[in-house]
Amino acid sequence: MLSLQETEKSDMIRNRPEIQMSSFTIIDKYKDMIYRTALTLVTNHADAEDILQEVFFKYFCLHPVFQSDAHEKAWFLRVTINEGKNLLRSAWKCRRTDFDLDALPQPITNEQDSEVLQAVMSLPEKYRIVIYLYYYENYSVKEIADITAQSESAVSQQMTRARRKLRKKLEG
Amino acid sequence: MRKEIKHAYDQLHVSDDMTERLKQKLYHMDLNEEDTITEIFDVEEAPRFSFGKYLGFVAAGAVLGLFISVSTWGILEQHKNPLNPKSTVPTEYAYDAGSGETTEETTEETAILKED
Repeated sequence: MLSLQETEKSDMIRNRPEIQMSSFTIIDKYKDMIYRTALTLVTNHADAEDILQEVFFKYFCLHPVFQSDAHEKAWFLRVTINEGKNLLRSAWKCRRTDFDLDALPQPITNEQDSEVLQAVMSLPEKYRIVIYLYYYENYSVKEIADITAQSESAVSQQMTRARRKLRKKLEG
Repeated sequence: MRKEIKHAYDQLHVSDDMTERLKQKLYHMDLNEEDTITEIFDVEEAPRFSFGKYLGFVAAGAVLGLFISVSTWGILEQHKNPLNPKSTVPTEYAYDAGSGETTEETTEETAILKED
């Protein structure tokens, strides 16, 4: 049970109009990006949903201040990637599953789209994330290196290999 | 490829129902867990295995080991060498270089030779 002081603090946070407004805007703004990033990492809808919740929970608890929109976006991406990696590391053996399109809440009717998604999701984890950030989020190699905390040369090497593998999968 | 990937990923989105559930969950979550979360956030970037660092440690260890070995060997050699002032070898056992005889004997021989 919460003490009086804790309840007051909690109510104070909830009743602050600017936090309520910003929180709902921020959820709508970043939910898809976080979900896609998380799904790319963990290839599992349920885990991606957990990560989505965890990332927003962290945001509301920490209330980080950002210099720009790009900084804010990069923060969300970084936290999502870290959460995904933590999840993969902590329960690698028991929770690692192959990507299942049928398990997604919204069915993907287009055959080409499902083929592309299957091909991307079948790549190793480090390749999936660079492909997603480069092709979907339009980040440069340098920016990807910053977000994933790797060197530029490592990222460009991963990009080359991922592209080659993806092309092979899509053609074959 | 970019176009295909973009199009495919556009199909993945969070449904309204899921968003609503998320908002409700966040609203009812105990935000007083802030301290715990901050701790988790602090250790978020788990130390990763770095081969470069590992190699550096091994190299530094090897250099240090080599230095200690060479120094020890040098000190031992110093004490073994009878010509060295720090030598612990008694003078009576000191051999004249190359002759294989004691210094005292060599001196006597030199004296005899001088007399001759």
